[in-house]
Amino acid sequence: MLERRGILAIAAAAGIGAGTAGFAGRLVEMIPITNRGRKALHPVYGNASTPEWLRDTKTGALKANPQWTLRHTVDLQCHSECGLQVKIDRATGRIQRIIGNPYHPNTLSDYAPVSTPMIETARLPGTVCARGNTGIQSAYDPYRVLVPLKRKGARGSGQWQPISWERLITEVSDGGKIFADTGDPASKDIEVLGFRGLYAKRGELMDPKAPELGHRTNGLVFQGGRIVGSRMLFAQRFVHSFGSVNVFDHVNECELSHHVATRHVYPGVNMTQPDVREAKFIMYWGTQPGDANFPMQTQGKFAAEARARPDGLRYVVIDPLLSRGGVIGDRANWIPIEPGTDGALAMGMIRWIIENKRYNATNLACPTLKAAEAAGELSFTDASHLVIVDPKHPKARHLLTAELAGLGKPAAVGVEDRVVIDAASGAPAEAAGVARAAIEYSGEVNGIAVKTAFRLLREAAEEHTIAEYAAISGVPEARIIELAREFTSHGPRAVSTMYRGPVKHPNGYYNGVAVMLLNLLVGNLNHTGGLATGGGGYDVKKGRYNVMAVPEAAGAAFGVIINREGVRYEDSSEYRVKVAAGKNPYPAKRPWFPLSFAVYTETLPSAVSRYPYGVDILIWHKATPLYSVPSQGNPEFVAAVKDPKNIPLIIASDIVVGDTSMYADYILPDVSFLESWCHVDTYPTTLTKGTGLRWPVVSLTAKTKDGRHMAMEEFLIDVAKRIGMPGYGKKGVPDSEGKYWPLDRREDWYLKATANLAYTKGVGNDVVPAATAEEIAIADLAPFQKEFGSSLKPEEWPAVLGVMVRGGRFQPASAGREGEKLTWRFTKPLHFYAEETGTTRNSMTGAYFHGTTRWVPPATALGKPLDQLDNPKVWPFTIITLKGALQTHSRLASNYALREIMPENGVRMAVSDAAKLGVRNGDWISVITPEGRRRGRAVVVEGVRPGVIAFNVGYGHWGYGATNYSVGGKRVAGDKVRRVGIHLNPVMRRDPDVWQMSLMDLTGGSVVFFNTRARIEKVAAHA
Amino acid sequence: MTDDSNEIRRIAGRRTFLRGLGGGGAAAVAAVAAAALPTKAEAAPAPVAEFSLGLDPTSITPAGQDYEIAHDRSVYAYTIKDGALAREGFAGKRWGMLIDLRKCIGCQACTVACKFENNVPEGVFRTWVPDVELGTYPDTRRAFLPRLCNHCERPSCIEVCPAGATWQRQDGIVEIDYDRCWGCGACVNACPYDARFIDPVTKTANKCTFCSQRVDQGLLPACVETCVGGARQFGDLNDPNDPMTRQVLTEPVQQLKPYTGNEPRVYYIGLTTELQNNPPGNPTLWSVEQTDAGRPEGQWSISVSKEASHV
Repeated sequence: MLERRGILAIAAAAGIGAGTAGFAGRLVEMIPITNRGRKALHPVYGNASTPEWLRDTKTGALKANPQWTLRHTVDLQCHSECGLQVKIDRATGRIQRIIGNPYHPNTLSDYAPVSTPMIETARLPGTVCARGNTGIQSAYDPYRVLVPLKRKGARGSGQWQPISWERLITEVSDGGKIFADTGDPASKDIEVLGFRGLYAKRGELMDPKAPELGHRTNGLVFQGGRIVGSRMLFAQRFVHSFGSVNVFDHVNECELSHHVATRHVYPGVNMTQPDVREAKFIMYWGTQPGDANFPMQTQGKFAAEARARPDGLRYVVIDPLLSRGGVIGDRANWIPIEPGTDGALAMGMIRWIIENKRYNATNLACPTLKAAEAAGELSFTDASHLVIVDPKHPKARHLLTAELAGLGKPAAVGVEDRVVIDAASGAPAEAAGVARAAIEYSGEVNGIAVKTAFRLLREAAEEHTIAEYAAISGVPEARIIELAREFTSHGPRAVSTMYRGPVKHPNGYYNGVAVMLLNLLVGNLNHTGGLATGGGGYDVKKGRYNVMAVPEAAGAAFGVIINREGVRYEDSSEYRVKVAAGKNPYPAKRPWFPLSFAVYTETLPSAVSRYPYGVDILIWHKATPLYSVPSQGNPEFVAAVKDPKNIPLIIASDIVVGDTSMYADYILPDVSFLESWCHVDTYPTTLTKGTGLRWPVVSLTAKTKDGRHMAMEEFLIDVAKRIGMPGYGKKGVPDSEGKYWPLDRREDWYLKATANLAYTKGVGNDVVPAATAEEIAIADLAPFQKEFGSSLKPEEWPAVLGVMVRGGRFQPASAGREGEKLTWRFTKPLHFYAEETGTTRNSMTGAYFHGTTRWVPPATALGKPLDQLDNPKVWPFTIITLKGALQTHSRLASNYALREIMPENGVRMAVSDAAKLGVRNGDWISVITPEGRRRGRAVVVEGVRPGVIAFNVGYGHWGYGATNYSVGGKRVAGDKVRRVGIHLNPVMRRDPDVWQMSLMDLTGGSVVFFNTRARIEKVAAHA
Repeated sequence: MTDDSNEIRRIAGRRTFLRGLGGGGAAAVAAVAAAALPTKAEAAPAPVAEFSLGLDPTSITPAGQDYEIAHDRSVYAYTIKDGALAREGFAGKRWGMLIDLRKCIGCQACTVACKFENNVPEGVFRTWVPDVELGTYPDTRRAFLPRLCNHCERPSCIEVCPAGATWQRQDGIVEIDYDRCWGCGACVNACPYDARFIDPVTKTANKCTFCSQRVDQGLLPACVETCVGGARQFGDLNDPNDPMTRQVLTEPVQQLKPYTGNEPRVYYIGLTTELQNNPPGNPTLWSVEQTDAGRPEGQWSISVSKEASHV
């Protein structure tokens, strides 16, 4: 192919230049016939696709171009879940382009109300980011697995045989010596239990000596990578009916401690987000508009709009990596913080704010919602609530109640029964009757030592001076004060928000709580321009049908989740036995995570070490722990996963032979997001209520004999029917009258959930109109309705088609705010002191967690400071990862339209560090950690904190089409495009005291991504 | 200028005839697609077709590059209603673009949307967004500069064309006749903005056309539609009431390399002098790595730009 430089040379040789038009005849002869390319489709429009809407020449009105089908679905290129408009060629059935669904809140600031006819949205579709645009390439990846595969040879041998759907279902259901045909000496004689054999043990206890572990059926584990919304509900319905509690997704490898910290400040709420468009000042911690967040493009969109307005938004990005702020003056600033010290910076700000009384004193003095409302505040906190601080008191670390305070019979319950010091009388009183309460009190009530929750925070903040916090965080003292002053200068229109950066550390929970508590000091919740908890989604589980109900299997699943999450170690038999024997019960063999959920990174090491129990059947659903979990790609661990004695049956539900699914026994051909069903709610960022509908706009996997496209759901349905589980087949899903409808294909379930969505009670102007004939034609839904007619009652079809045409159900954009208030307000008490955390112990050290927050240096599971683990003088760099706009964690390697913009990631390092090492931009370097080494290109930039190196996750694959393998004896050649780049997860730091555990945040439960230390060597020549 | 309608009518007629014989439908089209696939000698080893295991292998070939293979000119039969619009454009209008850099978040949605809309082959771009750092640590800023054809008032690419294959429509859009162009590259060389390239498939010049196939139907260019931050606006510079034009007339706007005398009709807000006079050419912070992906030099890359050394 010619390049521009090359052309220059040729042109010069041929004497082409200005004024040579007259030589046209001679020049055309100079072009060899072999150089002529393929003729374009149109002489002027070239090879462009024809537009999806065409203009009537006379009236100017638009009508749909019959060449195309337009369908609205939901993206999953990342977890932003943006609505899509998919343009499908009617002639070829192929997707040609993807653009945003104008009805979806993520894609436009003023998205179209669901009442708008589709034709009226033609001129202004929604936006999608680069990844959204390239989703086509995820679906049409030439490396897609479209039929079931079974390994030949040992696990990970790279040899596969295609098998029929029936054989897949039969073998994994019935078990036996199903690997006899693999020729693998390690597994050919193994008697595999299979789903049927395990299900038969559903009455047996896993361990009679530890009944809390539940039934043997907990030996089925569904380890979900990317699975959300109603797709997760479908999986839960199966696994729970089977009798297992083990169905979860990947949250702790992503940003779990962010959710847990948020839940403890905003009880029960996993996520809060700023009202970006109306805020005056936002502190983005460990994320920034335009990088990964919820949702990425919408945060970027709102911030872009707001920062361009003359009186609009100013924000700072607190991150070791440079902000995407661009050339916009002082509207976006960067604070390059030392990784993992966000808590120190936040505590420095908190100290200054408290000492200078810059907090919202009116808000904090309100002990109840009633008092807050009377004071004109939109939220209230536990700032004035008294906490029992006497460690010997039987209720130590709990909040003081009226009864404990000796105030007599409680006049109220719950939050209002807590005791405060009435500011008017100075005496203790039940919160219910107090208008304004003291927030700084420390003393005794009824002989019990107590302090207010606010006082506890103040004392925690005063453990260090601002100068000390500056030294820890690397942010100058003056800058900390400046930030604190600015943050407290905009009333409730200032927000402190975070994503992964502060929390993917051993101290992540405490960092996260500190970042969140800043919001409580300004009282911004529920305010326009403040902090939002959002409108959530609609209930798809109930209404027309009870899609989750399987009455015969109710209660079948119980016991401890294999990751030991959501349960206290102190409630285990292991603990009781140790205590009874007079032994120190601490540490547990592996940590327990009482405050957490979906501690995905512990699944495999727990299964292999059979703690608390072993696994019989493991399903990896779109999961790639060996690629994505820090340290789990190490050779010793991969060997353990490959050994069938550790986990006898591994089934991967995947769209490719992936970096982890390559080690499975079977690959079940799952659907890509464009072929998939799901109901998925919108995020607080968009302020309104909404649920997007993902549905199969194309179908690519092979079909079963009865005409269903293969998918995870069809697999679960067929296994359930084969082994006789209730809730599938003829007696499938009950409707609201208790009549049962069949569940023989996934549409039987998802269409009923869609009917629930269409019919559920609305919140005003959110009723989706029935699809018009024109819309049904544009979306080509008549054949769909014909094929799946029996999955719904006839009267439900018009409404369900309406929701499919809109791609979900959404409250109108205008409903987000009511003047100075947000429409969806959260009215529970906000916690300076999280009682649940404060009364829970660390299962390794036995120490109580802090109920408020403080600066906690990062440490190992047994409490060894990380600086003592790996000496910074030997290991001068800290590795961090980034989630940029052109990649989503492990997937998208097939998206060559993204790869051609950024083919390789490289290791970003600071100019000053590179100069010290004699490294230039583009040089090959080795990154060496205590766990191993990897080679990559140096990307020398100004925009990273010295001492920090960063890599974009998603490159350097070994599976996903990166390397060769064989199917049915035929070789599939890997593509180097997917192999290039550097991936440091496999050499990230393991905890020295727990077998094959990554460094962890034991409070929040997150795995640690940002605390591995490294050194760098220049590579003389790249072999 | 010739009228394209005749040829399109002829092909459309043939297409209808074929369909009448029962030769239409996805299978026939797919077979054609497989037969017409260009041989890519220099590309990385293609995955083997057997992998699809009995399914139609074309069902999993990479999308986005097969549209022109699966179709013929009959898909453009609809343009008959528009007469000579594709070549002559709208009378009385002057299309232009305004890019507000305060709103660009560097997401590259425009870069990719353009590729799928216009079926731009791998390794070449009609629009792209250089990603650059300004200043030194810690006073560093990251800036993005969307680039595309400027549809200049005085385009320097037209007069150098020896084939008369490039011209400016009355509404300002600079077009290329892909039937006439023989790919000599004179225009590529003449453009001071590096907006043109030789298309490796058609072997003709190629560049941004403001998505004239969309504009002519009253739609927006693909890059504007998908712009996440709303940084890109498209409008009629002849209409003082057009929101974009109002902004061009009332706010400080800049153009790239004003000294060329080309008078670009792509305007920017927030363009620094540094970027204005020496616009960066690379889409990412770094370009050395683009040789590591097993692709021949330049196939992924637009780093052959004269201006690549800026970063």
